[in-house]
Amino acid sequence: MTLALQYVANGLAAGSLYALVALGIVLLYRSSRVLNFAHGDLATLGVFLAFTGITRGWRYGLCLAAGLLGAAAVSAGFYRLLIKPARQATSLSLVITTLGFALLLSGLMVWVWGTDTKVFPFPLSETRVHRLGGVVVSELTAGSLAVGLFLVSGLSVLVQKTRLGLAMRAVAQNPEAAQLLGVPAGRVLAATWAVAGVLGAAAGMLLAPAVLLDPFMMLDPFLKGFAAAVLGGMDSLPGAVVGGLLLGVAESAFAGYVSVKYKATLSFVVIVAVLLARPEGLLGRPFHRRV
Amino acid sequence: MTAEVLSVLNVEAGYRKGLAVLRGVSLHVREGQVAALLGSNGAGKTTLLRTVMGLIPDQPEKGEVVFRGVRLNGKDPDAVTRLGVVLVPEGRGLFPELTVEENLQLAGYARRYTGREYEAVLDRFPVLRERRWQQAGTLSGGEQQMLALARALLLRPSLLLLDEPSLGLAPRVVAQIFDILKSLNREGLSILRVEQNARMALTVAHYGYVLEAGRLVLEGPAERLRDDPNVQELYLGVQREPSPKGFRRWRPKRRWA
Ligand SMILES: Nc1ncnc2c1ncn2[C@@H]1O[C@H](COP(=O)(O)OP(=O)(O)OP(=O)(O)O)[C@@H](O)[C@H]1O
Ligand SMILES: [Mg+2]
Repeated sequence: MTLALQYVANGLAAGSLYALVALGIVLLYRSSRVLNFAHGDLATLGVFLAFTGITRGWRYGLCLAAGLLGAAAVSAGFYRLLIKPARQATSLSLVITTLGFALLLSGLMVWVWGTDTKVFPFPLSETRVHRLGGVVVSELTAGSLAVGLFLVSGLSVLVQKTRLGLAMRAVAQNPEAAQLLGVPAGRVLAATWAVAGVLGAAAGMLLAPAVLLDPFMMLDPFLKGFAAAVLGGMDSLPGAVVGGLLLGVAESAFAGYVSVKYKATLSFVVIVAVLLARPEGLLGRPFHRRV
Repeated sequence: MTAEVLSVLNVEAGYRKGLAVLRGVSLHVREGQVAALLGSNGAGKTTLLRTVMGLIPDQPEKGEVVFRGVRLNGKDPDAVTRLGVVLVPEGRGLFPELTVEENLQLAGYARRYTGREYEAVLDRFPVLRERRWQQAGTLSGGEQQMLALARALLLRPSLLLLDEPSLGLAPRVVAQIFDILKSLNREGLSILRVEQNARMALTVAHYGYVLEAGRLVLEGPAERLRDDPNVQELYLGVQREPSPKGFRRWRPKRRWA
């Protein structure tokens, strides 16, 4: 029993990071109809920006904030300069654009920071642990879960309770109708991309202390986040959170009870199974073919 | 002669290159007047309104759209809206999953409206006040049209463009909406209305245009158009020619009913 609880605790911590990544993917998919394959690399870039500041000895909190803002700015800029002007582009060509941008970003990071792994200094340690009953929780695990949940609720408040959030929902549903109410759809979408960038970079900063920082650090979490998004339903924000947490717990249980070696394969199994059994995902709406 | 709020000058526009839907259209809306644009299905009425708003990328191909001396060509729809040209589109453009209140709030995104403006608009459409927390998609057709108009008014338009505001509504609701349009116009609002139904279009209008396959074929003061035999035959459904057997049939066609 305690073992099961242990797996759940570990799974939730990993899952909250998947949820953050998935939220970014879903946010962009439902508003711009773009699968952003550069999402992970953008996040890594944010972490590197923070890292550079920290190694220079600048104020720690300031560096994290600068990393988040940097990722936001590059994400919004990417939308403004490459995605938005391609007005009549097919979804395939947009996907290829994001893949190209992903390659460009990782190339840039390799060039600037090199491929050797770096230790990202973090105030929470992975080795200092607390015991709750029989369950062992490291500071870092508890911290990522807390920060993850905090960011998820922050996003939910932003989307549900603010003017910008209302405009974001309207633009996602019907950009033309929103523009006819004077809502600057382009700027609202750029803001959406910026928010997605922040969520991704935050996930990266929580992950970096556990896995070491290198230009390809987010490759695996991006795929996990993508699987979580598919699982929850590509156009559902709550779905992204549920999908992320479920995937995290499933993965940790699978590693514990079945095999650590094939843990990574689980997310692909999830993607395939969801696409076969329930393509709209757990909380998504069924697709209707438009005629 | 009063000044023009909107001038559409020799506009050619379409959705694909080489396939012009509008082929040299010129029309004007005068300050404080209601202009009606008639035409059958596919004539290009909606295309004209979309071109004015800048909703079709890179259009108009040729010609100019001028609002109170400002050239609208190439402006984004949200910028055109913020200048004071407000379109209630075909299908009304509501957000069915958002509440009535949220739909109204969106009109205040670019420029916040005051509590007084909000109350004044809701006084015109009392049903909306009762339905504030209901999803817009669950409103009746008439209520949806009211919501679309209310939202448009919160944007404080100088010129209101309406694409078939009477479409799919019961006669009583249509009459109610026309009364509202009439009183808005009396308070000084200029309006350009698109209708398929000439009888409806010309009841509340000072001036009318008839669009046929992308060209204007007729224009004139509303009363004159109402009496024009061509309009009567084509758009009011009154048949003049004798039937082959020599009987005169003044039977209205059902098409426009
Ligand atoms: N998005 C579009 N893409 C391509 N062609 C279009 C598009 N919208 C309209 N058209 C074409 O443009 C022509 C004019 O259409 P438009 O919608 O302007 O007509 P309308 O006068 O508003 O008709 P209705 O009374 O049925 O609304 C039609 O031939 C139509 O097929
Ligand atoms: Mg039309």
